[in-house]
Amino acid sequence: MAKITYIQTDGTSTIVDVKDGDSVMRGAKLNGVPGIVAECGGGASCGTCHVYVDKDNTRPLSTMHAVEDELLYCTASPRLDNSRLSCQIPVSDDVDGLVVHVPEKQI
Amino acid sequence: MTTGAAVPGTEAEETFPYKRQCPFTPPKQYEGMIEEDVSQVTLTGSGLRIWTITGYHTIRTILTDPRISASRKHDNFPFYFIAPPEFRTETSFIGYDAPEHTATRRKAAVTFTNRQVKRLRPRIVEIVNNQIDKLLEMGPVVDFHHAFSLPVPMTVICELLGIPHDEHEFFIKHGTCLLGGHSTPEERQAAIVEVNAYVNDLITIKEREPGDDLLSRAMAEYAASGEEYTKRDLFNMIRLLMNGGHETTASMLSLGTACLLENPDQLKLLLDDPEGMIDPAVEELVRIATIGDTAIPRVALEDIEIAGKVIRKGDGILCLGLAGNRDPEIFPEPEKLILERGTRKHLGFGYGLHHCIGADLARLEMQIVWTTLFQRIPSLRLAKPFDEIPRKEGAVIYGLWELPVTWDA
Repeated sequence: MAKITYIQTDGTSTIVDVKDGDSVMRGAKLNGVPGIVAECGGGASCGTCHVYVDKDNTRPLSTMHAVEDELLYCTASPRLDNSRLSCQIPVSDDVDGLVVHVPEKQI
Repeated sequence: MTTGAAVPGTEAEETFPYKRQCPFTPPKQYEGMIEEDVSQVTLTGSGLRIWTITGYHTIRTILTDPRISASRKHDNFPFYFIAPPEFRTETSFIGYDAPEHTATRRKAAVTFTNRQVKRLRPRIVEIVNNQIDKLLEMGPVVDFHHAFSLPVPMTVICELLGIPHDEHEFFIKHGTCLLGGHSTPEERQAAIVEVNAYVNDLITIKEREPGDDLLSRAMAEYAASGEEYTKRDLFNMIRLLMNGGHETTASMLSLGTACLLENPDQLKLLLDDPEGMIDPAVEELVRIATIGDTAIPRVALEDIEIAGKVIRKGDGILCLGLAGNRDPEIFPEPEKLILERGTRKHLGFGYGLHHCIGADLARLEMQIVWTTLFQRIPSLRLAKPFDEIPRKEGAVIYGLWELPVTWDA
């Protein structure tokens, strides 16, 4: 179990407990966090669960695979150095306390 | 609360899959099933008693639940025809669970991302125009399904995969056999053996001389990841992408074209503003046809309580996308074709880890076809009444066996 914080563009934040093995995307969807569309439901095929990982993050995140890298070129909000697809970040104790920022738009 | 033991159905009971009322209207039996959301049916062929899920939200919940499996190896896997052993063990990633699914799918997925697919636009425009030229030379009257809908996606997927043009007929024949619903188990098994033998030879060629194609890239991906592959891994992947990449899109091209011709007011909206309307139009046509209605089978890995029912560990489940795509809360007046409301929310490409890998490629092909076809052949129309056109009832991928069309020569 890990606590993940999702911060919206207006500054409001939601902290949720996400089960080991779930993704940061699924943590948001199961807890009604707005702004994570996840049109494909986690198939790494739509690019609509885009998040910006907090700049101060020091937690080890999963390595980005070429598929995620490709999809991040087509996100609705601009890709930045800290962009990730939240469906591709699995949750474990190692990422407890992770903070992600939800972009302005996903579609 | 009820529980669901897998017991054989009785002879008197009507078995699943049921006939659609029309290609765009779900079977009559779905009405009661939609009311129940989670209910049970008996499968034709295997006689298995399985669960069907019909609610839009319930389907999405089930398809993202880690307690369900897509593996064909389970005893109660809901095949509704008699499945040869190869269907159980040789499926590639469509029938794998994580982490095997993730690793295998990634070998192919890079080719199908939105960015890569967009690069194919000029070539697909050329393929579509070439096929329209051929269509015009052949008729009128022409069977649009065989003269246009099948060759267009077949040419696209063959070029992507690295399969020479002269083999298209071979793959169309075998694809129809494997997914068409009218073949025998023996014919399906023979088709798999023949396709595997062909792809096996192709892999040997690509190993010697890699090209700019998915097969060569997948082999390079395996090499880069340090994983060993067997030819079996590759030919299962290629067979999956061949079948998934042409039969599905071909079905949509014929059904979508027929649907637009049968709804001239909607077609006019598209023709008046093709640029603005084509994206929602494609999504709405995919929703209304939902050709993969019976193509999302799963098995419960644990007892799952959902919608007041308990699905027992080991029970087979079918998520009926056509029913989910008729949820009036998501799609008001769901039986109506309303192009302008089209969104990507529908379940026509599935949902979750197994969401259609080629969705963006299929979208692009449909967009190009429906913005080109009616412009090049403005008088295009059906050559016989729509309700007389034979349909692929009971097929894994729903569609039409033919689509006779005509135009003012």
